[in-house]
Amino acid sequence: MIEISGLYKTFGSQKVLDGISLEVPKGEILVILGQSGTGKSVLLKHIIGLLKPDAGNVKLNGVDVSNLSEKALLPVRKKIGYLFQDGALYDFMSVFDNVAFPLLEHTKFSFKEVQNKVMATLESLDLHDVVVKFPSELSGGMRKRVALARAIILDIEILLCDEPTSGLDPIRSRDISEVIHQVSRKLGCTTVIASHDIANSCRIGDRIALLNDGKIAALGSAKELQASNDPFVKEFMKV
Amino acid sequence: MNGYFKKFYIWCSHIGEAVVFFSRALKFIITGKIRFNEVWKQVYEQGAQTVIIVILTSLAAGAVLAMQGYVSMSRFGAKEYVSHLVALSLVRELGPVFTALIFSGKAGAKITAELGTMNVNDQMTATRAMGVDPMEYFVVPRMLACFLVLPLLVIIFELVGMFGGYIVGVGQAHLPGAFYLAQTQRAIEYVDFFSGFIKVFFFAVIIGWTCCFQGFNTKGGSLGVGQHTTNAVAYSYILVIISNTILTKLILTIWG
Repeated sequence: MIEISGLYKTFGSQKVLDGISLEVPKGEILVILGQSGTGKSVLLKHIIGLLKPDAGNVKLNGVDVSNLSEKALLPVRKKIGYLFQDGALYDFMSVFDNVAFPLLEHTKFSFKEVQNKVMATLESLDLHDVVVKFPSELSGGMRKRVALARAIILDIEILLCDEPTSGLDPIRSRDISEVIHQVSRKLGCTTVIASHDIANSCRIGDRIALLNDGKIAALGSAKELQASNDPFVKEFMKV
Repeated sequence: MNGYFKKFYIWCSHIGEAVVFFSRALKFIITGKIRFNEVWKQVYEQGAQTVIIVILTSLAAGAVLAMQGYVSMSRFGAKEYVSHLVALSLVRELGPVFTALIFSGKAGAKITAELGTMNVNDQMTATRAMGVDPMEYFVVPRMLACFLVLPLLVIIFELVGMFGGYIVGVGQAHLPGAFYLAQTQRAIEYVDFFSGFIKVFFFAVIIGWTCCFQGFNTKGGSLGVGQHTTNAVAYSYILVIISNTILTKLILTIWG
């Protein structure tokens, strides 16, 4: 479960998060929708402790991570999968090595076990034929799927996805959204997705939080948001 | 005045950050959190990348030293001391300083560009997000590799440089080969070798620290990578030259 309360963050004179409070129950898929630059990624980075809030806190399964030291955060992060906007794959490692990295770092598996787990995960994401390739040899969609494979290879409890459909064509966007949906359900993990892709967000999100000017402008199911009378929500969902 | 004060303040804060950065890396090393596989990988990469240029430079440097030495010493009828000139120049000064400058321009630039690119492509952040400290995984092995590779390169530089001198000494000055080698051996005392070699470890720390710090703090996309890489090489050069002057004075005062 993720509990965010009264989160404030400013960069210089720019207020990015302005008192965000949210609760994401275990197993839910929450999509944070909003225009570019409204603080969606910043919010995700606070959840995993990559950024420290000016005020407020983030609790993951009851543990306040907002004031933990970098050292104390490392074990917490083993339980979190983070899908970066551009994948952030190691460009000097093959697909296999990229996906195996968290296992080699955090488990005592034998090489055979690592190999089996990596191959099974890649197989499940239809990536079995790119195992020896390097990230630069992959298409945008494939890179995202490899990054997703790396994010879920450990037994994670929370999955955070930063703009998983950005830069992809509509078909690939739908595919990756479906994959995230399936993986989240299969693992039973709490998932938070930052996106501006309304169609796919409505398709896979249990709830949607609409972010505007650093505040949550609306929170509810896709149907509730589509039926909203609030002018901003109406305008945004119409797009 | 306000502008100068602000610049000075920023400069001081950079120095502070660099010191904190170094102490963090040192803490990993002291507490034994060293990834030896990564260190060997870096030793191989940094060494393999620099060794050819070191060999070429040292061969040329040794040969040129011998040529110049032969011309000037012949005027005093002391051409048999060419080997002394070559050996002492290489061992006491040129070997450590030249190698350090070549190393920072080649391996140091690579370190900064690699770390910088990882930084701007979110690979560093991804490492943190996966529960691994990028300092431990990327920085410490590179710094340690600098410390291991540079002394080896200096030894190669000095040996190949002496060989360059030997070619000229025997080929141009017509000194007997065995005589040249014996003179070289006689010229270098332990104090000569160690007074030069001790500086190498300082240079290795300076280069590793400067280049890793610049790469680790790269911002601003490809432009930032270029800028920080240039800065890393420039700062390394300046620091090597300045520290060499100070260390030489200290060593001469102590050992003579």
